Amino acid sequence: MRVSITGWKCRNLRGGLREVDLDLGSPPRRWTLVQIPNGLGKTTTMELFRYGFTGAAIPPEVVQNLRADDTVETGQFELRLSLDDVPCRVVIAFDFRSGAAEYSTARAAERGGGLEPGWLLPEGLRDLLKRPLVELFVFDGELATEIRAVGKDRATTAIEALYRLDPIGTLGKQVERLVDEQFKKVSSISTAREESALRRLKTEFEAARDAHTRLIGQQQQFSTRKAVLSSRLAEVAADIEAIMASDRGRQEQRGTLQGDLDANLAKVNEAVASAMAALRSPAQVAPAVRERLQRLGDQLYTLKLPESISREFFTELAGEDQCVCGRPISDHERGVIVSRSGRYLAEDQISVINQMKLALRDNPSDGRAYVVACEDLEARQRERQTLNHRKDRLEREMLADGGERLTALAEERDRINAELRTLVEALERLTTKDPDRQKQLRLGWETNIPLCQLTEAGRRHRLETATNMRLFARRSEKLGSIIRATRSKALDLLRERVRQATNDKLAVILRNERLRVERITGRLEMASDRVGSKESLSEGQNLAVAYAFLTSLLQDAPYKLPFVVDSPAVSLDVQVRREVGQLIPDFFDQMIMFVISSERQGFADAFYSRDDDEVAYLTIAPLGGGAVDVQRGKSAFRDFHGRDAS
Amino acid sequence: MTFRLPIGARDFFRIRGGRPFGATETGSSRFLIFDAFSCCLLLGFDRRRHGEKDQLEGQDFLPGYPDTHRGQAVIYAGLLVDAELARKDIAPEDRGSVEREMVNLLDLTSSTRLSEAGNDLLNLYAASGFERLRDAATAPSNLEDFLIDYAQLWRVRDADASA
Repeated sequence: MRVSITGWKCRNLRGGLREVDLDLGSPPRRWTLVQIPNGLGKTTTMELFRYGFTGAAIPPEVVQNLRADDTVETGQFELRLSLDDVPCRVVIAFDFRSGAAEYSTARAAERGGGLEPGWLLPEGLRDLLKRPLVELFVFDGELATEIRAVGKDRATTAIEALYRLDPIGTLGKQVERLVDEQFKKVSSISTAREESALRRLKTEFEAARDAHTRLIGQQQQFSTRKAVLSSRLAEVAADIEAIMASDRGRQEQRGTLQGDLDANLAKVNEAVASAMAALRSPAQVAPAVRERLQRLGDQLYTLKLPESISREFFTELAGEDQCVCGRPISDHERGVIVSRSGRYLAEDQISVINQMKLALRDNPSDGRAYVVACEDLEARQRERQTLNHRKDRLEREMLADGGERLTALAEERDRINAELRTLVEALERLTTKDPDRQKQLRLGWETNIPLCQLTEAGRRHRLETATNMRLFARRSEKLGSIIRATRSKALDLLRERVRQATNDKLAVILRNERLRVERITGRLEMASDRVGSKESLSEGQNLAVAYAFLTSLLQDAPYKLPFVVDSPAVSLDVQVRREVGQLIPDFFDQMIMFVISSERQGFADAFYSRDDDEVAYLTIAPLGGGAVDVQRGKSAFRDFHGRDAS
Repeated sequence: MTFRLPIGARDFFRIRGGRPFGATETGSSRFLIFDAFSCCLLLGFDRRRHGEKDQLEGQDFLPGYPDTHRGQAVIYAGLLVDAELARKDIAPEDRGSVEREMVNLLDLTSSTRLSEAGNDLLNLYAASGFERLRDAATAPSNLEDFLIDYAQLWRVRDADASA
């Protein structure tokens, strides 16, 4: 982007800035020499340029110090720019009473070019134009001799901003932020970024996977054994039945007992169903419960509850102008009615109580149905116990008389049944999915297949997350290091380019002694062909180095900035002035130079031979009372005899 | 909050796969978790003392009455009112206080016919009743034994009351 200054305007500011409006034209000439005697606002104008370019807040004491005199209460500074040939105005309005300074901006391309509050230069420029950089192109010439000590950081900052290296730094920070975000996202699952943590997660996952394999193996083994035993049990039971069937008398008794047991089971089931039905009707569970319900019903009848007047009646009454007795209802009474209505049952609550009263009335039992059903159940249980004892005794007698073969079969049956019970329990422990049962049996992932599957899945997920995170972190570190190296390399290259360019210029300016910048470190380290390292430079040499460095820094940047300099040659001897005046201007697309009359010789007169279309000469002369006269043209410039003329 | 089991009730009633005593029956004779809850509840009402919130499980086991008990909602509500009147020692003839209790505990619009406060109290009474059940009987191994033990508990209670 090409940035040019096309003019500036001051109103009610101190020095000679009570009413100044300088128009440099659009496009402005390449070089503008502004001859202005000391005390007419040169330093103030430079500082206002810096504020205009940075949009920085202006302290109240600085604002109040800008006041032309006590007769004025407000003032203004306007910096007119051209941004890629688009006009733009930055206006600073001063209120000297409050010390406030308000920025506003007018851009032709935006909203019809009207003034908008705020400092609103385009985004790229906003990021670029920070005070340290602006001070390098709105430059105080009297400080040029100190430029060698601007330091590496200042030079680095300027190079980064001018050559747009900061997005690389931003990219590095974005990568760091992405890693942090990703880490936060997965930290609920796994906090493993380190190799050791990854190994631990892998070990944990493998333990769960191995346990799963082991448990499945056990399940298969137990299931196979159970199937074999069940099959054998059926054979043994059939053999036993076949042998027992030969004892016809006992077999008949056995059949009768089994028939009685079946009938008993039906009666037990009936008793259980009766007990359950009674249990689900609280009034039938026990006389005590029945009595309580009865008493509550009686209490409600005695108390005439529920009230026939409901809460809603009072709420509605409070909304009326008059009471039911015809008296008017005051606001106070209305409030009391509403607040006390909360003590009455609402209509829905009345309905519940009426249902309750009805339920109690419709329930004429004596409250013993459950207990009676359970007494019946208890009797059936005793009957079943007796029948089972008789059947067991009969079978024992049949076994005793059945010979060795039957005894052996019965023993085998008992062994198989015992082993089957163990297997069933073991299989339940391995396979139950019921959380209650898992808890009751104190099962964990090492003993129960469903729990083990859950653990294995969870650990696999954590391991995969951690593995991906670790990979992500390693790649991010690599990318971060590439970005850092790129930035560092770019900086080194650009610094070297600036150094070379500075030395090329120095070779032209300082022909007597070939000075060169050896390194850009904390400062500009100088060397000479004659004495090697050279720390002590003459004032002229210092200034030459400063301009060579500054111009080299600014000239190749993607942003073409104007160079505004105050007193560029005041401390140079005439010969060096002439050389500086011949050389430096060619480095910039726009250069505005504030000079005093004593700088004309050597420096300013080096411009006289240049094409008049490229040089603007402005001379600002005092008229008294803070007013100035601006004269244009070379002759007025050349002939001006200000108080600074030597 | 609707129905919440007392802590320990799952073990006592051998609740597995959502069924107490490993019940395999279907239909109306199947013993439900709510049957277990209501057995606790009746004992809690009878004690006229409720338990504490930390005696309850962290989650509800049922959002409302099952079909088998829905018709008894007002009876449970009545028993709660009766227990609260007794617990707070409200005189039977104190009409205002009785009405206030009902205002606090009842709500026709709720599926349990109870207000939120009433519902919370119901669960706390179940906790108290389970405490009594566990003190009086060992965990039964099957439904038949439980039904008989539970009936015995009420028989003893009635005998004590009439003694």
